Amino acid sequence: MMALVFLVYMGRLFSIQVLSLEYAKKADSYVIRTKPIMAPRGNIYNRKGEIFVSNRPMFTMMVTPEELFIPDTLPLREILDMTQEEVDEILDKILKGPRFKEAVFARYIKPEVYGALQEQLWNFEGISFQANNQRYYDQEVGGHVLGYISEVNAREIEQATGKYQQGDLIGKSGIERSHDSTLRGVRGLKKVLKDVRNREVGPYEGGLHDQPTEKGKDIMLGLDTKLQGLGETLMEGKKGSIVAIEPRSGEILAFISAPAYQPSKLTGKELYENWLDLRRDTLNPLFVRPLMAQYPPGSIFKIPVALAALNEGVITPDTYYRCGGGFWRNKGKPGCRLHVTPLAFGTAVKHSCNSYFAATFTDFLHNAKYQGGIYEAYEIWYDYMAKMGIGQILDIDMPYEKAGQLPAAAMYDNKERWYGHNRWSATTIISNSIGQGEILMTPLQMANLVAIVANRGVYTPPHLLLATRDKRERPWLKVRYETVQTGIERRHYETVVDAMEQVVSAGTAQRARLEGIAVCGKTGTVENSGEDHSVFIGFAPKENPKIAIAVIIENAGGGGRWAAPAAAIMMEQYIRNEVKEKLFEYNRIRQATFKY
Amino acid sequence: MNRKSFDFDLVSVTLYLVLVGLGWLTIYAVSSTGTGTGIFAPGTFHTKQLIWIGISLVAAWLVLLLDSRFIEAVSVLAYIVSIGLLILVLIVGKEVNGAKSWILIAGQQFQPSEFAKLATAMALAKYMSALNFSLKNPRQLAGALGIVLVPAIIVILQNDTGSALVFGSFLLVFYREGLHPLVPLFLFFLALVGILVLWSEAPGMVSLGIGVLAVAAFVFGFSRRFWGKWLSVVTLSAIFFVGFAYSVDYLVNQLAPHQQIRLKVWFNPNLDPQGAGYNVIHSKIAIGSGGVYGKGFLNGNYTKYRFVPKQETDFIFCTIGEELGWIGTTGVMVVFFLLLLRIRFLAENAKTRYARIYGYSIMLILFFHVVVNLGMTIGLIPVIGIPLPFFSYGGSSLLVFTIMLFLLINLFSYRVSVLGSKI
Repeated sequence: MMALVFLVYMGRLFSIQVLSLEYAKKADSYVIRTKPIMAPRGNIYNRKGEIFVSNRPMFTMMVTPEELFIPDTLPLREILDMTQEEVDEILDKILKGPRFKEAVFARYIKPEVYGALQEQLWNFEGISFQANNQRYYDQEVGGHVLGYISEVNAREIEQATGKYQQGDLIGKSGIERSHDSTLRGVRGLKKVLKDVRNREVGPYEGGLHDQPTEKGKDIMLGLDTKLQGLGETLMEGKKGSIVAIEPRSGEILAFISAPAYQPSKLTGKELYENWLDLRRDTLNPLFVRPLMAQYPPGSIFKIPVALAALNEGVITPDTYYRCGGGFWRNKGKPGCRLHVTPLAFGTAVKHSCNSYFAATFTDFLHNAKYQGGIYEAYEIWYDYMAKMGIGQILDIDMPYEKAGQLPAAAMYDNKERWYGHNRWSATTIISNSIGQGEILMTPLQMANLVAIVANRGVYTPPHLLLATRDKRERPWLKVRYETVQTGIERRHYETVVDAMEQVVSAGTAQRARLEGIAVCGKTGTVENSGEDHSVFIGFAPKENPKIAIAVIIENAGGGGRWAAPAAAIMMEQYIRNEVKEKLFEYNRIRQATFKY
Repeated sequence: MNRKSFDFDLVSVTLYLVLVGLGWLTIYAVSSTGTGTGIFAPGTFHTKQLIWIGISLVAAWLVLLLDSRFIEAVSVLAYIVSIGLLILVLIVGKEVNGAKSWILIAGQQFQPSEFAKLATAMALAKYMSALNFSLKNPRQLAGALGIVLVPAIIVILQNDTGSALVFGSFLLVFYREGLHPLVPLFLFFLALVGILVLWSEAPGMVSLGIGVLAVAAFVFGFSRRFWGKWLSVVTLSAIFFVGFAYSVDYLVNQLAPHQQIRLKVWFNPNLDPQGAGYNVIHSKIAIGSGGVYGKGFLNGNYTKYRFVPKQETDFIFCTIGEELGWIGTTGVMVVFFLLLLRIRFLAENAKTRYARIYGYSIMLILFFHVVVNLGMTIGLIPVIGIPLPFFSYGGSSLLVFTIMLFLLINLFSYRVSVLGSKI
């Protein structure tokens, strides 16, 4: 009988130990914890190779209710700057949770605070710390460019199908978002043993199955952080944008969206609170104006209109038109100042004569050389505009870029909303000739347009990313970008550039003059429901341009009065590395306030 | 002390030493977490157990020095002392895990019920080895039953039902000594019906089975031309068992709540995974995760990090299962089996009736402990808190089992010297 019982037992043991694999699996799931180890994010450098954004260790203080022993909360409160009520409230909540599970007591503890805590807490029990990284900004500029990082949400996890998991930090906007996959690195895995109280007791099999983390790649941006900072200061309290591009390369030197905010506002403990504050701000600082704000371009649009007409032979530099204080062929619309009449191309640009460009536009669309009439003419005109990036997504390496608007003929053919087929002519859409019609451009497109002019017809799409590198010791790998041709002859650009030089030296943008530097530009004064927007595009020097820039200050007034000098300040800073000649303008603009 | 030769049974001593050695190593595996804990680390289970092993070996040596006639003579006294201790515990005992079965003697915790098992075996052997003793004599049968029942009932009063059940082993001794085989058969059927009802939760189906068996018995009876008495015995037993089947529920409800739950989770541990089912679920995982060869000595993560409660005492078999695998568990069972066979051999070949009855008693006590303890760790038997002999941590258990075994070895070596060349 004894033998029988023992045989039954051995059989039972055979079935659970040898035949069944389920128990071994269950045991592993209880004993082994697989912990993701976050990879440090890559650093971000400015165009000079100086560190711009780096990581800083931050600590999360965890408590385990079962082991918690705090003899006196005073040192804790002093170091963490908390009140007794706050401590009680958090502890109360934690103590209601699972007994053996670590719960967060305080997040975003700085290294120096962590050090102070370590010194004080030797007689506390049940307290542990988790190290993680937080972005640290060596230069507090470019919040809109950089964007911010934060914990991945449920929707993002689902959409990325397996790429992210709970607790991952991902870029939510700006460069952090568009270059997230470069910056984020590869998450590692660590297998540790835990005991029945869920405490970690050591590595599993000496760390044999661990996967190391891979630090994210460093990236270098084309941003000139000093120029960026100057622009942000200049635009304080105003709404608008400044975009500066190095014309030769398409590298973005400055990308100012006003009002700006300090990038560190969107890190750490106050991230959400600050984000909400920014969100509630009526000046809408979270709106990335250079990419997302779409304005009628105003008079700066006369430049592409002129270029297309010159290239098609519709006008020549010696074509004269009448002014007379308005476009005489269309009952004086659009209106104009009473210019010396008739006037040639150069003079028309210099004084921004509306009549001249209305005439040019009309002669383009109703030109006998196009057999297909206005439809063929408009299509050719549309093509010129599109090739200069107007109304097009330029595919900058930033999220949320808007296209602006370049109306196609089909839009005007829409009978319900617009005019209908064959029911519109140049005069119907004459406002487009001076940039006040249905054309909408983003500040980035304006800057790109002036970069095209500076380059006399070619451009590299504007971009922020210059180079990447795997590690600090490795060389930077340059990112290559293809150049784009606009299909307009170089001599026509020279004609326009000459005229734009006149604009600054003797025309509407004389406040943009710089001693010894040939600045070329064009002002715009954009009519809208409120006070006019002040717009200026320009580049300098005239030969071998170093900087092309677009400035728009909302509801400020004339383009020559505000945007032009602002652009000159940026140019002086970039070319001479100081603001001296334009200091007066700098102070004047800083002190100016506009109604919003 | 008049004996000079020490030619005691080496086989059982060797098996004993193997079990105690394995037991200590297992306790060491449970108690030495990490790398720094040495063999002599004050306060650890394995060091304390090492001291108890030393004490037990000294006790074993002292037992071997005793005169066998002295052992017989002291039986009644030992029994009376142990009953006295059991009653004392009822009054001044210390409660551990709901059972008031511990007493402090000279600063050491001691469980008198362990000692009572030994003393009862001795007293029973003494009573039943009397020349005129016969189990057919109702008065003497009642006397023998009384010797077993008195300590058992006191232990139940201590709320230590597990230990009390051990005394049931003595019934099989009666069977060996001439009790009618129908008595254990009847008890076996009783247990079978109880288990079937608990398992199926359908007394009707079990009753149907009893009815079928009864009809089969009638047919068998008629074919052999049994009449009269056979008819009434079968009918009465069938009625009794059916009645029992329907009263299992009621009887279970008379048990203490924790015992009821233990019975219920026996068949389905997941009814109460955090409570009564917890031990069984986790002990099965620990044993099952060992596989064929185990995770290796000291590598049992599951037991080392305390996923199985009471693993140094009642659930120590889990550590063997996890670290040494099926080879280890089967090996341990084989050693136990060999020891039990050896004890039966010693009992059967003993010269005196006292030694034989005593030998059978301790064999059955050991067997009961091993079967119930291993059975509960692998989920075949409800959780009953009794230790695994020689393995479980605990001084009084090890000491009592050692003395139990070495008393028999002493009695057997006496036989050798009696039959040897000296006489």
